[in-house]
Amino acid sequence: MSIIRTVNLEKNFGGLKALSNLNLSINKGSITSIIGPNGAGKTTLFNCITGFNKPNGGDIFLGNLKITGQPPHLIARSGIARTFQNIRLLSDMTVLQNIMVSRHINLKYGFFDCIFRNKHFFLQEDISTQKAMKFLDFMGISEYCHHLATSLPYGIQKRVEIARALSLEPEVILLDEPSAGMIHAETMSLMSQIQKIRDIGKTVVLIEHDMNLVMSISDWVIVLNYGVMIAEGTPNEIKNNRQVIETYLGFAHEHLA
Amino acid sequence: MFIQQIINGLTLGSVYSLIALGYTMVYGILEFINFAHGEIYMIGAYLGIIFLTFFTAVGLTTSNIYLSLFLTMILTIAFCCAYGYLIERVGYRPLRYAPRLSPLISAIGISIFLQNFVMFTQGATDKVIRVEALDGFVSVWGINLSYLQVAILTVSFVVMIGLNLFVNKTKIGTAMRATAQDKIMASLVGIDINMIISLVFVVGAGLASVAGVMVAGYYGLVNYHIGYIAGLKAFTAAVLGGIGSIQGAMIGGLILGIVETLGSAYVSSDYKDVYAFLILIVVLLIKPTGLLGQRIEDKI
Amino acid sequence: MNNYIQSNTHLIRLFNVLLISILVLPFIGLQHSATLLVVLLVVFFLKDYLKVFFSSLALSFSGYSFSRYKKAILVVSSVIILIIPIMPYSQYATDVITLCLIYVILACGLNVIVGMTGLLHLGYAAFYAIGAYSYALLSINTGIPFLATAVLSIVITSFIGLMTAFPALRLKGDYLAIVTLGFGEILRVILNNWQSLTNGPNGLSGIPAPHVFVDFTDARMMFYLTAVVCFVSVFIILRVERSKIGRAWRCIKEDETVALAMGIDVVRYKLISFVFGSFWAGLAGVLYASKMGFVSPDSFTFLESILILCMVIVGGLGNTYGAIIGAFILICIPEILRDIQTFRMLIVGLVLVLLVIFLPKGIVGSIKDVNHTNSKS
Repeated sequence: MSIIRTVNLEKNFGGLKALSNLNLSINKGSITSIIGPNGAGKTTLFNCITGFNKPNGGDIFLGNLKITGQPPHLIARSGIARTFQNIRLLSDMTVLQNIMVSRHINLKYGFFDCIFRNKHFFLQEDISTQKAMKFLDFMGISEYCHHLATSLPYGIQKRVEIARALSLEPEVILLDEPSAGMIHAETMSLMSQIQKIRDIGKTVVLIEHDMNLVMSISDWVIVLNYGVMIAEGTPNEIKNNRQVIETYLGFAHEHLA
Repeated sequence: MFIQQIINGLTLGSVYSLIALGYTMVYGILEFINFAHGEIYMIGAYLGIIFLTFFTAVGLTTSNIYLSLFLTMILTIAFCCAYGYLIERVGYRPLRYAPRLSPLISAIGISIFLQNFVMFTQGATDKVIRVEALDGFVSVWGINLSYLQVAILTVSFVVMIGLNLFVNKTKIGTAMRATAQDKIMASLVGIDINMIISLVFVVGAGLASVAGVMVAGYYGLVNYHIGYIAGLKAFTAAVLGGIGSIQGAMIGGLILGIVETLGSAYVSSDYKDVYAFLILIVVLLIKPTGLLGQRIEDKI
Repeated sequence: MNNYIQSNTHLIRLFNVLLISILVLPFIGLQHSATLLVVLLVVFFLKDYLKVFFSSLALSFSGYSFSRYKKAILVVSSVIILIIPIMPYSQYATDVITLCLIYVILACGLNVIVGMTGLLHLGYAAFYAIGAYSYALLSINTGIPFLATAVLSIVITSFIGLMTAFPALRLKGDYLAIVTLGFGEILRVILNNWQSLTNGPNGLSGIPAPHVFVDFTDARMMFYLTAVVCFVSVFIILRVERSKIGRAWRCIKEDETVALAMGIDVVRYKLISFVFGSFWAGLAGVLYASKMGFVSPDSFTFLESILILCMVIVGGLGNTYGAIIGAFILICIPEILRDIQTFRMLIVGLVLVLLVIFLPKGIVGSIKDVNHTNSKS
């Protein structure tokens, strides 16, 4: 069953066709990797799905809900969370505060509850703090909760970003190059964490360049080139796909061989 | 009468343009509003009067008025350029990598300081100057153009053409444009960023001082707070034309000058300070990048 | 090579010092500028020693952990402020402190907009003016009781805040700054020229004092009223700051893209911030008008907006306690310097520049930093 579906999705930047006639579907509860050379339109696809770029044509569905052209915050509310290619944590806040920011949509209290600090307010805040801690724990970084987010090592910051996306409690989580800049050991633990995210019932979509990671954890791989989907399939099918090998030849064939 | 008003508007507008150029160039390079820029214009006006008074006192003006005026202009420009350089050096350079608001606050501080420095040393009352040699006017097709109007229009025109050539045709101008686009990249290809930024401040201050001297002659009196309101309007002109764009600042200044003159002539002169801001708000709401500005998409 | 660059900057600095004294020459004459040159040169050659002196001063200062005594400091200073009016011969001090408290409300309100949400607002005094003028006009021309007039004035201010925010918030960063500035200027010109309504530059006088059960005509009574209102305002602002609303504001300030990705309705929260901030300006305006009994456009110039902004920045952007301290400093210093009237704005300007350069995070922010490094080591 597909949870995200695009129908004839088009996105142009001036004369450049970043995405053209893209039809793809992502299965619920799967780990789907989107791969392709630089400039293939991977991040543009993410931006279209999350509403940061408005598509020029076609539609995007989340389940049965049409989310094409919706503003980003509404898409986030309807259940798609994302991370960014370059880390975008809030620098003046601790890790826990960063996570609490993304609890925003799950905190159900109003302006006057803030001023009067009634029972409801504290209840909501307590639940959210607990949940935030739970997600930090889930990513194995709860010990850092009172550190300033940007003072932490790179690998930890990446995990904070994922925890932040998770704490929106989304159905789908989009990870933009989660392993970029990580050393081997960090990538290995990241892999198991991504699998854990899938195991709690979330759908994970990731953009990745690390073929080892892609091939070992993905349920489904989608290959983009120049905004066109040139192949999709299980990791094994992709490994043996001629067109994919040709596209990657000279870039990363050593990973695929 | 209408043509006369247009000419008056153009005169005022070219003064705004000259000041606006300083705002727009600094904004183009550092993306920050140089609030102290209007004070340079005020200082220019004061220096013009101080130097001319000095030359008159030593008897140069009576023996050779043109030499005296010429020296006044040159000295004022030199001093104001130095002011521009020093302001950047003391007030802004230490804050180059600070949060966006910091240099703005520093600029406001400098602005307050300079205003009160001038008020403290020169007194709070209007300073009056009168150059009799410049009192005449020429009549063309029934329109009266005072010598100073002619001078303002000619000088502004020449200076703006010169600036355009400087920015677009010379090596340093190219370096300036490169710095405005990408400071890190520019420094990687060997451009001395600090030198370019200083230069922008110096050139901007020079233009503002030209405007200041001419206005001092035109109106015959200056006050320590003329810099503030002129600065605001010039900034409005820069935004109107599209901040960061040199041609935009020139056009914006002229439009603003004409609208203000026509507004005070035909609507009400009580509200003459309002027209500028009304136009600004309308333009920003319709085309937020100004007339000639370009939209930059945020990178995610 | 390194050595060469070093000596070069040294020379440039010396050159700058000479330049300063030459530049002021036309304004202050040969004698004074020579004196200035000597002073600057002395400072220049002693600056390494001065640096050592100041850093040791800062070091001894940083030995104290302020956060530990935060509550004690707050209580003690509040008590001192509260008993000042009861002291003999304190009429002048009471007036100044009442003014301080009004500015505390203004600074905290502007801090919501600029410090927390990151919207540079350069026309805040306009909203202060709307509050003051609404109160003045309503209380002079109608017979509505004080509380109703006050509430109505604040509602009017907030509403105008909302109306300006709608178009203004479509703009980014500096454009927003300039539109708010333009709004402030337009309002000032209108106040000056709409004779029939505002009485122009002469202002409105004869504004009645507040009346809640009793008349607050006495300066002391007025002070305690202001103190209570100020306390409640700060209390409410702090509570809103420490909730999901405050967190959303901070997120918008730092990174709008992230805020959107986290499901925060950026436009809506900017609107809330703007209106919430304007609300306090309205309240402060009412207090000001009713305390002074007189309003005129001179009290609400661009410089006023800048003064309030400076309070926020001096204390530390985004920090409510900082805004409070900033308000006290910026009202009290000029009052202390009143004897050297002509000098005082000169010094205020200079202090502003020095503060942003040497204490970039404001007073409270810098103290926090020191504590942070202390607790780490």
